[in-house]
Amino acid sequence: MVDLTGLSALEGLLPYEVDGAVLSAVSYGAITSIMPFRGQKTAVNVRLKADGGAALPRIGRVSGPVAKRLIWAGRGQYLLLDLRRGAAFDTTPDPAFDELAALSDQTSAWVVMRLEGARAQEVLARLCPLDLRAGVFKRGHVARTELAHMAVILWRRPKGFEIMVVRSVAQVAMRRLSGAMDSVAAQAVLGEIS
Amino acid sequence: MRLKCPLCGDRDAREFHYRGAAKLMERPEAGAGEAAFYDYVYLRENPVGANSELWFHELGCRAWLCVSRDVSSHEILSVELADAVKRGQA
Ligand SMILES: [Zn+2]
Repeated sequence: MVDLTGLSALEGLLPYEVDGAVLSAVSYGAITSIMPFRGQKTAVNVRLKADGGAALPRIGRVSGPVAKRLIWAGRGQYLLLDLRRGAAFDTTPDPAFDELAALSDQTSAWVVMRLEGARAQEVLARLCPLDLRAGVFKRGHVARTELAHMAVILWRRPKGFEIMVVRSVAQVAMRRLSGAMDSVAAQAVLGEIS
Repeated sequence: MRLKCPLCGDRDAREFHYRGAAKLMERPEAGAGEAAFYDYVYLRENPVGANSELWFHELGCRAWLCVSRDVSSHEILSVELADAVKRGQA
């Protein structure tokens, strides 16, 4: 059998850097969607904790350790992330959840970018209608929102933001972000923004 | 215009998709007859003032919402999860 080489959706395109902002690609070990069935949320929490993880986070929040990070991903949906890069994972949904929740492996469905730097928030403000000031959108906060007409999961990280988009729009999202980075950096050079 | 999603909070209108009158939630039973379905599919109130509407938080949490909106001022009077309204929990 031919040995195929896996490429990311943004292969060779990132990192992209301008004065004040860096956009880079992030690759997670595994992304699993968890959608608890009606009335089963408590049982799902018990199961997650028995596996050494945390309970499901509140709306718009994040919970859990690095190998079992849970983020709220919309109405009735959570994503279980293994943040360790390239960690080996089993894509077979855990049968212990069969009666409790719908599980699906979404590792290659999402593309994750990280935007960092002093002007990261200004860059996002060009594309996203959310109030992203540090005092409002804090550490541990996550939101489903719009980025240049695309549905994204936006997540506050220690030094910036992580942006999750579905794989099919990865390059469009990347180009809109890098364009906004160019625009912010250029206006800073021209003294149009402080 | 902004809508306060019960899950996501106060959000810009561009995150939402407007579907139509909330009457769409009151689908007649299968045997209700042609007149009932004609009414369900085609006939709508045209109020001056509060109108009950279905909105979808498409670029957000993807919840369907029941929105009461004053169509003459665009004032949003209430926003509830359609799921909760349907199950009588709103
Ligand atoms: Zn919402």
